[in-house]
Formats: sequence, C-alpha cells, structure tokens
Amino acid sequence: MFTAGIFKRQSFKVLDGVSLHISPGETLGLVGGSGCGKSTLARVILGLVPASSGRVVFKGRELPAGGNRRRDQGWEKMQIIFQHPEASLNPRLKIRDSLAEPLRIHRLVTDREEEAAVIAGLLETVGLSREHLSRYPHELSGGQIQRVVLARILALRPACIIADEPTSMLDVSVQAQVLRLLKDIQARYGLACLFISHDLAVVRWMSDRIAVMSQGRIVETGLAAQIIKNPGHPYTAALVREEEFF
Amino acid sequence: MHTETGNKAVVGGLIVVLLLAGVAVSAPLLAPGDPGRQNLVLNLIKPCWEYPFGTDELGRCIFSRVVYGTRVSLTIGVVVTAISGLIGVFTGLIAGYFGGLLDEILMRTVDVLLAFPGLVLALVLAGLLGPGLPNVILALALVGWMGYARVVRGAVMAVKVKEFVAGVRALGAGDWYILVRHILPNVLAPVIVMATLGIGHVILNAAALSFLGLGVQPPTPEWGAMLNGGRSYLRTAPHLTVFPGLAIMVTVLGFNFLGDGLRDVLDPRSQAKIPD
Amino acid sequence: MSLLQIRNLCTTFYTPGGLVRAVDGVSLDLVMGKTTGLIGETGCGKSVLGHSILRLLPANARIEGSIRFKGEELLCLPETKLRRLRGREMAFIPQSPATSLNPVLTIGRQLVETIRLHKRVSRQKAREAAAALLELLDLPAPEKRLAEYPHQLSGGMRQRVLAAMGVVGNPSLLIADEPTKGLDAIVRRQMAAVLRRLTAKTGAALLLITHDLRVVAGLCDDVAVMYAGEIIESGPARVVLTDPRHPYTRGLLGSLPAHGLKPIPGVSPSLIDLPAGCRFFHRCPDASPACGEVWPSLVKQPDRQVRCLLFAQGRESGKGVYGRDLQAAVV
Repeated sequence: MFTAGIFKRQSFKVLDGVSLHISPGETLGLVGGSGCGKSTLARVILGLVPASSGRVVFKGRELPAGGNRRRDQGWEKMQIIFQHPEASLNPRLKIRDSLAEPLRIHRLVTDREEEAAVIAGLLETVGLSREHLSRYPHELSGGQIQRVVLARILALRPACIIADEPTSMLDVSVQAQVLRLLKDIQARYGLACLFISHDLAVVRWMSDRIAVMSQGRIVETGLAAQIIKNPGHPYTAALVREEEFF
Repeated sequence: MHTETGNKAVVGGLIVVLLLAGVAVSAPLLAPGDPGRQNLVLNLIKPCWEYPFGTDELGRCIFSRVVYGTRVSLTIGVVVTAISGLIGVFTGLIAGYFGGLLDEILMRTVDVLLAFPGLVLALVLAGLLGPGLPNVILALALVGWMGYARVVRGAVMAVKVKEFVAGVRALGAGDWYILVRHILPNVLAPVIVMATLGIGHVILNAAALSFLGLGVQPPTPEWGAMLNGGRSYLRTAPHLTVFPGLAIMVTVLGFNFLGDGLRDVLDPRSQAKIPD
Repeated sequence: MSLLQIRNLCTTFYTPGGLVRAVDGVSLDLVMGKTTGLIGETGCGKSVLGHSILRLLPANARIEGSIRFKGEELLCLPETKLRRLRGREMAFIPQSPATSLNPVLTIGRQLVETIRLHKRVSRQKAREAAAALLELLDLPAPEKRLAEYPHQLSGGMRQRVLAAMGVVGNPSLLIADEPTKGLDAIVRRQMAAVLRRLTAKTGAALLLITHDLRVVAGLCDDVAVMYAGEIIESGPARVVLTDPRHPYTRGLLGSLPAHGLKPIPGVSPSLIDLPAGCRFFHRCPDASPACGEVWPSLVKQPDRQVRCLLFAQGRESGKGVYGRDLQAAVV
C-alpha cells in the first residue's frame, strides 16, 4: 500500500533506504531494537515528519513532499496508535471531547445528538462504557486509554493503522486484552496494520509478515512463521534466540 | 505538606484581592466624601473621626482618595496585564509552534527588549506618548509582554512533541486548531501564575510612573501620584504618603501571595505521587 | 537466616480521594545470595513495597508493620541512621534511567563521586574502580563511557550505569525497580545477565520488582505475586511459574504471547475501596459465591503459599458453610 525512502536529519541517517509494502487487510510486523528507527519510520509514513528522499504511496496517492498533510486527500484513512498511553490524549480534554475530535474536524456529524450516538457506538466497539466519557485521561488506565485512541481512530473508517509499540508500556494481562481487540477490529473492518514492536513474541502473534529492522535498514522480510523458524540475518537470529532464552 | 502552604497563600492572597476588588466596585459607598473636593481651610489635618486618613495639602479626604485610587490601580493592573498577556501568549504560541525563521525573529526581538530595564523603557515610552491613563496603560503593556512570550514559547516546545499532538495531526487537524484547542490549554497554567504576579508588578510600576509625574495626572486619585504630592510634607504630615504607600504595599503583596500560591497549586510536581 | 524480614507490612497513602492501601499485610523474607522476584500489575503496590523497605516515600504515606534488616527494625530507625544504611547496606536501582542520572555530569564523575562517598580512596583509584565496575557490567569500552554524558548512552547502558552506582558500597541487599522496563529483548537479556553476575559476585540478596514474567523466570530463585496490595502466591520461581495455583497467577501466565495471549477480563479493584472478600473475585474464572464474602488468608502448602479459598479446605474458614461451594469450584 505504501513505500518509504531515505530519511535524513542533520546529516544523520535515521532511516536508510527503507522499502516496505502492505496489502489491504494485511498485518506487517516491524521488529527491531531500541533506537533502530522504527518509530521515525511510523511518523514518516504518516507525513508527520518529512523524509529527505523517497516516497510514501498510500492507496495509489503519493504523500505530498515536506510532510504537509491536507485534510481532503484521504490521508485520514491512515491512522496511528502510540506507545505511551499517558501522552496519547490531551490531558485537559474529557474523553468525550477527545472521541468527538475526528467527527468535528471532518464534520461527520450534524448535531450533538448524532455525535453522542456515534460516540456510543465507538465505545461499544472497543469495550468501554458511557461512564468513561466524562473522565479525564489521567483517571483512566493505560489499557483504557489505548482503547479510547483506537475508538477515535475508527470514527474515520481507516484503511490502515500504524501501531507503534501500542502495548509495550502495558501489563501482560492488559496487553493481551488490547492486542486481541486490535486483531478483532482489524478482522471486522478489514484493516491493514503496520505493527511495530521490539517484542518478537508479540509481533509473531499479530502479524502475517514480519520485517526486521536494524540501524535504520530493513535487514529481512518474510512470512512470520518462516522468519522465526529460519532467520536469514544474524540480527534476526539473535532476536529469535533471545525470545527462547526466557 | 507543600500543597497545604500553597493553599494557605492562595486563600490569603485571594481574600486580599477580593477585598480590594470589593473596595474598587463599591468606592462611592465606602468613601465618605468626593475624592476631588477641596477644602483649603481644612488642609493637612491629621487622621481623625471625620477624616480617617486625614486630609492633604488641598484639604481633600485622603481616605476617599485611597478608596477611589483602588479603582485606578486595579484597572491599570488588570488591563495592562490582559494586553501584555495577550500579546505575549500569542507571540509565544506562534514562535514555539512554527519555529524556524519566525521564531528566530520574534525571540530576538524579545531578547532586545528584555535587555532594557522595564521601568526605564516604560519611562521613555510614557515620555514619548505623554501622560494620561490610556498612555500609561499602553506604555506598561508594551514593556510587559516579553516574559509571557518566553514562558509560553518554552511550554509550547515541550507540549508540541507530545504524542497526542501528533495524534490529532494524524486525525487531520490543522495548525490553528491544534494551537488553540490542544497547545494553548496545556500552557496556560504558568501564564495564570505569571499574570497574577504581574498585576502587582504593574501596579507598582504604574505608581512609580505617576510618582515621577509621567503617569496618571492629578487630580485623578492615584496612589503613586498621591505619594508624589505628599513628598514635600514627608516630615510635617507623613499621613499624606503613609496611607497610599500602605495601599500599594497591601495590593502588591496580595497579588504576590495569590500568584505564588497558585504556582504551588497548579504545579503538578507539588502533588505527592504514589510510586508505581 | 533471612537478611530482610518483612512482617505484616501496610503502607497507606493519605490522598484527597481517600486512604489508598497500597501495601496491605505483606510478609516476605529475603535471603543472602538469593534473588526474589516481586511481580504484579501496575498499581498492585509492588513498587510501594520496594520503596517502603528503604522508607523512600512521600510525606503523605504511613508505613506500619515490621521490617527487620539483619535483626534491626528499620521502621524504628531514625532517618540519619537509615541514610547511612541506604547505599552502603541496601541499594536501590531506580526505574527510569533517563531521569535518575545527572544530565550535566559525566558518567565517570558521577561514579567516582559515589565510590569516594563510600571508600576513602584517591580520585585515580576510584576512577580505576569505576572502569572495572563498568567492565563487570558488560559495558563496552568502559574508559570511553566514563568520559561521556548520560544522554550519549543508550537506555540499556544507562540502566547498567545505575546498577553500577547502586553496588559500589557492596550492599548486602539490592532492590531493583523494573530494571528491564521498555528495554528490547537483547538489552533485557544483557541486563538480566548483569544482575545475575552482580549477585553472584557480592552474595547480596536481590529483590527484583518487575511485571516481566520472562525476567523472573530467567533470574529469580523465589517469586512473590502481588495483587491489589496483597501477596497472593509465593514460592520457588520454577514451581510457581510452571505450576501456578492461584487463578490470578494462572491468568498472568496465560496472557503471555507464548501461552496464547489469553487476557484476564476486567480491571483490578481500586485500592481506596477494596472489596470485602477475595480481591480477585470479580475477575476470577473459578470464583464461587463464598469468594465474594470471605477474605482468604495465605494457605501454606509444602512448596508454596497461596491466598485462595480453593486451597483452604480443611482449614477452619473453608469448612462447613462454604465447604460444598468450594468442592464444586474445584471440580
């Protein structure tokens, strides 16, 4: 669905000749160590950070140079979930207002009543209840916040979600809840997903294909099961060994 | 514990500020006489039942003048702070958010202006504009906005890299929407503290300008101008200067307590956290 | 004999929302040369327990119970004496390496100062000791690292520097609070190896506070599982992790990706408003009506302790009225 290219900052290459593609409905797992450039890649793909060269093509349309997203070009069909729940929502907005944002920005509803109905539907999809609406982000747990973020994204009926370590800050039992929810929703809406994580076990569970990233480069791509069974690159092999260590 | 002392200061400061506001609003009821009425026969009277603060060299009731002076001082304080706050917040917002050349130009301007002592700059401006209430307000507002700009710019830079900002940008929000709805509410806490402290500061500066004859002109009852008028009678009739001086002190202290207290209350770091 | 003996520890926070019972009646023993894992979810009180041992808590906290270190009651110790114990006898490796190092001083300066705080040695000697320590902790090119500033190091390296600073006083008790949080697999493994080597070399007891079950499995001799302020299961790590008895421990292991990523439904109870019966009652797949009313005490079993009515049969509280329900629940 898209490809991305070289990204440079202050003559320091964070990403180096990265090429990826994701088909509709597919999950591509992107695994790599801390500081390998995976989060930067997520931001480049979304046009939040400009790449110094290369292109990102989404649904046949090229991301405008300089990272300028325009509201009317269908880019809202690609959305992101971040790593740190405590920074993912505006701390001064109630959950209701955070959820209503995409509806208001894109004028998807005509009045308050319709807005409330849409929000109620979104809440149900992600397994939250009405009582959460009047709370502030700091009154919610990390898992609940990630659900809110997911609900908000779904309002725009996205075609692709970039999940940047969405559960690395969560407890294992909550991680399982959130990942299962993400997978359910993906199946239900036919969403493609770029799932970024440093946890190979999690990536294996989520993904159809896996891309392994090291020092700004993609060192290996392939079907999830095959890569883990038969790692082709030394870095991948090291990752697989670590997973077996514990 | 920290929060408790903060709370006490807020309450104390708030009471003083509310009392002052009450005095300003109900000045005609509180003042026993017309602050401008002269009575040369009864000039320089010491405080007594009829004239609680005594009378000045022209026989005007000092108590009435101090009470009406509250109106003038608070008006100057609030209006000046509002104007400089608005200019400063706006400048800080766009400099911090857009960055680049715009940021560079705005912040270097701030640096240059901050290189002059504020009161001196205000003196020059007031001198150029001429005396009078509107000009005092303009002069003080023009020298007071840089601090807000700096604080806001710093706060904006810290907030704009948070993930929720990238998140709403991905939702399709435009720059102005993000600035007004997401950045601004998250940088206001330090501005509120600064503005509260700033009101006291402005009142002090306004009094200083009036004292030097460049501010509000007689016969308007303004505390600084009253100090100036009483200067020659410092030895023979100290009540001419003591009462307006006390009024200035109480007002500035009240706003400072309120501001310092607010800083403690609004600062999330002051809340004791349970380790996790 | 145990090095640290915690008996019936309760740590309560006075907050505007009410009393938060973060640690509620915890008893735990730490033994020299052994690593004990303290696991549990965010907000279960495991970190508060670690902080309580060193009395590193905000002013609105109250600690009750008994913490004996080498036979000495820590809760009665004056602050000045306690300060002498911290760092020398007991060391704390904090959670966030990003904020726990001074950003404007080099690693070398910070380490050397810490060493000289504990031993009267020359600057040169201290620097050599610092380099040796970093080498012991697997930090590549230790001499070069000493000249660098915290921001020049990766998260894993900073975490190891913090560990180094913790052990310079040769403490007999090490408390590590989430030392592997946010680290990727390879760095996590290195950190675990470093901790193992440190305890092996110094013979210290290590209390490892973490939510990462894999680290516990790889590193710990014993494990204690905390839920809503209480220890709900404890015993040898291998026994508890391979054959968990408490429904919560079972759920925790089942939610690992390798075990099928089966979530535990629901959320932990609020520590302000704790339920009367078992604190896991509302999320428990094996709960019987009795569990909602009877607070379970720790049941001693040959190889472990479990806080669950399922295992309380034969005991006074499990007999009679609730016996039948429990039987049904076991089947």
